[in-house]
Amino acid sequence: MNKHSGNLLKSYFEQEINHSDVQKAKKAFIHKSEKLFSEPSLHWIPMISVSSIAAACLIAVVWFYPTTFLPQPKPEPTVLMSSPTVPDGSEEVILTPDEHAVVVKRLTSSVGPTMIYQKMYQDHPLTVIWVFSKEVQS
Amino acid sequence: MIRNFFNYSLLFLMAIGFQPNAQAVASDTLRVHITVFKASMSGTDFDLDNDAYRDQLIQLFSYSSYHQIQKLFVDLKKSARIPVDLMGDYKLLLNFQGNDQNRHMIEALIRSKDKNYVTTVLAVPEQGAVFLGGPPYEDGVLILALETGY
Repeated sequence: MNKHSGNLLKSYFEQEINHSDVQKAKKAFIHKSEKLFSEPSLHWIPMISVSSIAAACLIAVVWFYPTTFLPQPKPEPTVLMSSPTVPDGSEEVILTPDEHAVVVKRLTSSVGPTMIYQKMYQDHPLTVIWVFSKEVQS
Repeated sequence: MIRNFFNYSLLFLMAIGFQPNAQAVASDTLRVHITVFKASMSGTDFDLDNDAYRDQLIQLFSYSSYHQIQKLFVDLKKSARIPVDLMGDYKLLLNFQGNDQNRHMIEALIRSKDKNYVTTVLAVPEQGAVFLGGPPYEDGVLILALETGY
């Protein structure tokens, strides 16, 4: 008798616990407890440290500095050589002050204009006489 | 004391008088070295016997290719015109005209057939170099290096 009544009581409690209303209330309670401890929306902010910000600034400076702040190299000025041009067939006396240079005393051509210029090569002046021929050698 | 001074002065004057340069300038003969190059804008080859010419040619001219095609020397006698045959019907005529103020006076003439391509008179020091160029040859031009004292 007692055993039978004990089984009835156990089955009664099981039915009560497994009742749909009880299960819904249980789930609602658990879900509510999870909401109580939700994470803050800006939780990633502490991940950006001061050192990482400094590194980003350094990269930006290195990236932009050469193009914006470095002094640009100036193009070398063109060296103009002294080049007196003698018209076709004419004659001119050119005096060169350098004692080691070849002095051109006379220069004529019957094929075109001429030019004289000098350039220093290892402290020695080199004289160049150039004839601009109007004809092409066949 | 005075005798020693005169002796040393005499030795000094004799040493000046027998300097090789002074004797060479007063000479009636002169050796001129002639090197002929063909310069062109086709290719980038440098075919030169002497590498020293390479730097000089690069500094003086703006061609991309240089070929040495002749190298010779001539011994000029005073007032005697010496002909030198060049490439492409060109002929170089050199005339040693004497000395003037420690310089050799040389008349250089490049002739092509019946035309005087260039005529010039140069006052060359004891050691001097002059480049003479412009005559068209094949796909480029001829450049002559005339040197004395080397």
